[in-house]
Amino acid sequence: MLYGYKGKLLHIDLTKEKTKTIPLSETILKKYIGGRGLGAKLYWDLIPPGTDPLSPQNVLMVLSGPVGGALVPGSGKHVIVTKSPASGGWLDTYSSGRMTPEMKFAGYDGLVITGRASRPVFIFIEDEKVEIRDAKSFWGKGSFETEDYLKEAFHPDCGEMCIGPAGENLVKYACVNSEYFRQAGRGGAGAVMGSKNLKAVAVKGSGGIRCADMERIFALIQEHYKIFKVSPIGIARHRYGTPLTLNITHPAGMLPTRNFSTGQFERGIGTIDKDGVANATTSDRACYGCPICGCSKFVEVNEGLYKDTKLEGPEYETIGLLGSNLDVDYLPSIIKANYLCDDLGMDTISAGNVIGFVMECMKKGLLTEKETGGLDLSFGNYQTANELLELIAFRKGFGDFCADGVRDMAKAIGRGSEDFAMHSKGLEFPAYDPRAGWGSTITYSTTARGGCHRRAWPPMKEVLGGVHPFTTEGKGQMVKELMDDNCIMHSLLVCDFQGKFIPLETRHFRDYLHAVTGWDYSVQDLYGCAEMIETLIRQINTREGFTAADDSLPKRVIEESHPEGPTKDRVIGAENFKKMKQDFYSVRGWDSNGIPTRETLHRFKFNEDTTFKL
Amino acid sequence: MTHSLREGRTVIEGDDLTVDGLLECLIVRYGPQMAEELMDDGGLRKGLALLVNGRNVLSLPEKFETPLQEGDEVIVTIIVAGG
Repeated sequence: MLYGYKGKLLHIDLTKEKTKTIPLSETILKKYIGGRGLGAKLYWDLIPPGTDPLSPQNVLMVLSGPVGGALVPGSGKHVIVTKSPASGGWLDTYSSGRMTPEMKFAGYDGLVITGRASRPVFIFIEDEKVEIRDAKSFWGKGSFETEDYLKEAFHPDCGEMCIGPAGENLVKYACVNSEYFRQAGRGGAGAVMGSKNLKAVAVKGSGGIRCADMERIFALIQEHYKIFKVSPIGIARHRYGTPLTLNITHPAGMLPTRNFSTGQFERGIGTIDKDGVANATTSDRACYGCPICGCSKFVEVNEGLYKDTKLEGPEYETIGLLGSNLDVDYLPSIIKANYLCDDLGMDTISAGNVIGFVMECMKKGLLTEKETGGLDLSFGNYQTANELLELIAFRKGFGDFCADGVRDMAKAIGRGSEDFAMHSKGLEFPAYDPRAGWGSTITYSTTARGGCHRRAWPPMKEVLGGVHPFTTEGKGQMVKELMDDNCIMHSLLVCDFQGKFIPLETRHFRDYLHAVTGWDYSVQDLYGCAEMIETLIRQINTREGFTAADDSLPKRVIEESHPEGPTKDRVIGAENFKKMKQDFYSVRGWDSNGIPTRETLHRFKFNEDTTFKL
Repeated sequence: MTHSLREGRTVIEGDDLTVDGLLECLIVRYGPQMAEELMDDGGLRKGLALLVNGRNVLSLPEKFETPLQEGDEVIVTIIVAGG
């Protein structure tokens, strides 16, 4: 008997409007765990190289993890795995809400969606009953109105995910919304849904999840809650949420400011930081089933142009990219921009990068109001920036040019703009400038989905730990270890914040995994799984044609220093960057071109696995 | 602790002041509660980090013996969990 898992996936073919179940064997589940790991195995088997991400042949997978829905701290997560329209390679993008528990209550560990519907549709899943319902009247409508409808028409407590106009219009950084303010934000999964004419998925199940040792799960939760209650990190997290991060990245010179032209934003202190957001906070919110901490914040704007805007957020990334990166210290504008992005269905990180890039192009005279359709997109002009968001989502006017992300925009503009188009593999940078902690050059460049902070978070070591931020030594190993930690969490599908603020270690997650599934992994077993999964994901991109040359960063990061702060006059340099990447490849067992060696592949016995077929 | 440090303004004077010296001054001035909030087993309390001009003190060559100059910015912060 399987504990934790349901042992099957639901395949929905939108072209044929047919469904079937796909069994998951114990062998495969033990090897790949779930979440990112299972997604890697499914992607390898189901998405052939060369597949157009926006074609019916692309596969959209929504997956749970083994501990999801079983009250394990931070386990209300789901992951969407698909081929990214932004990078043209592997994409895993995470969100939270009721998708995972309701999929399991309905009897599935995940959904595999293929094909393209003949008209806009919703998918409603209630246990074995799957209905593909016309969504034509909702095409063009925002995420919030769509989610209202799903909860009214289907079930108030359903798990749901939907796209806004950005996804429908194939914006390359369109996200997938859940629970109004939760997004699988990165890499354009919303555009993949849009390409399938799929407006939303809603799930409701009547079953439960059988756990191997429920008493042990309760005991672990109580033990960890006691630790959390006296943890200064936990207390601060509960009080301030993620905006507290700005109060560290600013002094460290890591805060993206004016399109990453500097790493400090003095005007942000007291305005858009922990205190700024705390002043606007009205209440807290926890993720589904998380018994530890309501670490998300609800805010409200009480006066001015954006009066009465209400939002869950803004999180640190959004503040960094739609605030300091645009030279904006007016919190209500950031709240409004966040709200617009959520409703229109766009990733705030990429949107902030796109607008920051445009602002720098205008400053340098590479774009003028003639090209922008009369929009004055100077740094700090938040009103026009917020107007642009809607144009992007509907691909109207200048917004159409901005809808494909900074890589394509820089290609079109040329004249040196590629040097400050802040992306790797077409995925725009998160809110940590790698020049203030060189380990992030490895994560941003080598991560399969592109510029990413969720594979590993080196500032934990290079700013908050004692590791020298401006050296190359040991960084390959350091990043590899951080990535493996996160890979384990993202395969169990637990929030990686728990590990930091309770704090929990891999041995604790191993205990939860054991209590839920009954399977007795050692910590070392789990690290072995992480190495195997990360190598399979690398192999997916290798098969697609990616090489070390694609593990690149913009010239600004490698050759420019900041004008102020701890990073002043410090240049990473091409040689140092190359050395760190080579070190990382080496500790991973990949060759100098970033390709897993035959010995490494042999170690993981991929050829002994059964193959999934649709 | 964030508030207790933020809300007051004080002047600490001294020649050859180091990071360690600064922490001692704060503890002498504010008493056992400050000691409890800042220190743990003789070192910085678990869950806290100390930055000197944006650099973690543990990554500086002289660590807690790092000399402080006029205008240096010292931040004692709770370890944040990212964004």
